[in-house]
Amino acid sequence: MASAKHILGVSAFYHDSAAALVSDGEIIAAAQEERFSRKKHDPRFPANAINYCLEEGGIEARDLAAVVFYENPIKTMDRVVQMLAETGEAGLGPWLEGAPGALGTKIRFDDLVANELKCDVPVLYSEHHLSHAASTYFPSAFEEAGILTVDGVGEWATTTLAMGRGREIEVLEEIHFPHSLGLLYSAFTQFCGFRVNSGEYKLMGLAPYGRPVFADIIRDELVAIKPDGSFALNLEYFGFLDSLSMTNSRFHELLGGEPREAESRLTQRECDLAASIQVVTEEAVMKLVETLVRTTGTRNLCMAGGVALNCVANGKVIREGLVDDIWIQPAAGDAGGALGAAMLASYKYFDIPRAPCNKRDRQNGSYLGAGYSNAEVKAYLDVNEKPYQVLENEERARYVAQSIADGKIVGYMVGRMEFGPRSLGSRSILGDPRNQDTQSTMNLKIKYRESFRPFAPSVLDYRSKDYFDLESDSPYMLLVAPVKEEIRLPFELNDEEDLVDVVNRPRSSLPAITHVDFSARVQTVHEDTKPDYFNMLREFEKITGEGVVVNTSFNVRGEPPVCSPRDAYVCFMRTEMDVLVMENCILEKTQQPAFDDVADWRGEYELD
Amino acid sequence: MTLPTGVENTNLINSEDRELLTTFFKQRIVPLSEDLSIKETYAQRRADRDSFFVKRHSPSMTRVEFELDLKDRDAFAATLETHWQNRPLQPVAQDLITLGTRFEQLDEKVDLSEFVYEMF
Repeated sequence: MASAKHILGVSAFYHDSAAALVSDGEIIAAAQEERFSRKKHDPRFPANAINYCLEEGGIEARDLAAVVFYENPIKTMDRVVQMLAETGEAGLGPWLEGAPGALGTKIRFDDLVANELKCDVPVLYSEHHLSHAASTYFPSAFEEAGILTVDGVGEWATTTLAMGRGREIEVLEEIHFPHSLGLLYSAFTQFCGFRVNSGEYKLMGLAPYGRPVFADIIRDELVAIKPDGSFALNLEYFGFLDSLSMTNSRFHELLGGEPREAESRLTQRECDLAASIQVVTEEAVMKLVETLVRTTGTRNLCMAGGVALNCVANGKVIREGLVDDIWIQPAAGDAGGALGAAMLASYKYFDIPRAPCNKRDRQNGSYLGAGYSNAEVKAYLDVNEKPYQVLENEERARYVAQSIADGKIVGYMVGRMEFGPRSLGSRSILGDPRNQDTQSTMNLKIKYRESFRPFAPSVLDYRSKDYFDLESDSPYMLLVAPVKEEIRLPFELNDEEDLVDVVNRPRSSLPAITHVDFSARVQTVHEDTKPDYFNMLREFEKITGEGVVVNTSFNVRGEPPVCSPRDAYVCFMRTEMDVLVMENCILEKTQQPAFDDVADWRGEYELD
Repeated sequence: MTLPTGVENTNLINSEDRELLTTFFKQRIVPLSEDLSIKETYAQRRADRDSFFVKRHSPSMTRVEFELDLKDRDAFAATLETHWQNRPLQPVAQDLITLGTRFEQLDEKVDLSEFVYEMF
């Protein structure tokens, strides 16, 4: 029998470096470096993630058929130098900031691979948006689909429309840098006082508090969107070519003042700006999808790229009936490029057949990261003398469900870690969605983050329609859907009201997961992909009648989601969580010894 | 180190390197701006075009396109030079990559800039 073709995909040096292992076209493992290095969005060469992938695959580096980088450094260099030359003298600031990395580490991928793997493995190079396209089409169950990728920038492309058929991906149209929907959204993210490349999610969460009063200004002055969805930025308002800021003084004047200082009080202006850029982004995405459907003739849609994490826009695409079916890569940002690169090389370079999919998809619930056995968890707890009890699976499900129903907050670490930014019940903090205090408790005492940010529901797949107007499954928490009219409470937004007061007013019988616009970012939970979580929800349903819990990532603000038992225990003790579940080991906060946390842990993680 | 924009440079380079980079930029890259700068204004672009889509050179990657020869700095420079063949950037390729030898041992950045999308 021929030996399997093991392909290692790597993304690195920009955002969220990651590694993924694909063997004969099957996804074996994928993980972001940040989970191991404990540095959020870690962009460095993912040595830890690579080691994990090889270990999970039970192979040595010498068994690899190839290592594939997720983009083409020559084309990236082409774009960088061409744009600097076009910009002229004013490009000096970005050059001084970017050149050392661009000319140093970023052109040494071959070298870094050789140093890390210590053997001679062929190194291949993909292209950024093809990697994104491959990351969403190949793991999907579709045999044919339109593919939309939208992000900040790759080599030149910032947006691509493509067609996937069998094991082929054909790019139909592109939009090139500096015209970028991702960069437009990031410009507003920075202008509203959030960090670029991590605060975009906050901006999306802020949008429902505002009104799109700036939308016409954005359409008239900042971005021209054609009927086919293609767009061009008016570069006179942006700073990313000739400064180290996304925006410039003309942008500030246009939108009525200076950028908001990070961590300062949010005002109605930021809410309105968020609402405005969200509306314009949705318009562009919808038009792009319409064009893709018209051009390809297929009503299956695959999406990837950072903008595909905009689950409000995604929800609208499906709700408006633009497509019949949608599949979005859960690691839609650059991390997913590692997986896409490995899959693209498997099919296009090594000619591996793409086997038919008889499951929901080929992503395995995105539970592709590191897992820890009971023996490993117990070893950690025993060595460190932490008291715990062991419960078998069924008993554990009942115990967790009862704890949540009693109003406790539970840290839940069971199974392999998720690949992608959303926690899906393997590294999650869980709470009771019926409890009015859950949102503020989890925000302020557990996550230590802004109180305006809503939490997401994990719902039993068969109960989803009881709570949400959502026709499709949403296993990766990438679709926002309206909460059913039947469970809504009277609620109106008042511009004069403080955000905290708004957050604390209930909007539905599930207040902790209902945003101020009656929307929710839904995760449907399926027995076949996550039985332990599904069974816990079933137990919660038996106790409370509700098949839904609050699910947020197992971390504090600025920290990557926990990976190991140690990470989970430390996070548990630093916050006001009540119960910690690590595989079959259950820990109660009240029974734990005093935690000797000498480090100034809040300084350990930079605010995101 | 504070850049002309007032923003802290997160790459820790010394003043000599900074000087070298500045000189290279002014002497080798800026002079190309006359040849490369886009003359079309936003208003023209908006008015004149029905679509902003562009076509790829080919709809997908060929097998050989996966195989970039970037095994070392010389190979990278040669591949880049070939890519820039018959373009104004071609004469810059070798010296640009040679300039980078100074930054080979620079630690990789741990953090992304909070001010601008990492696009270099």
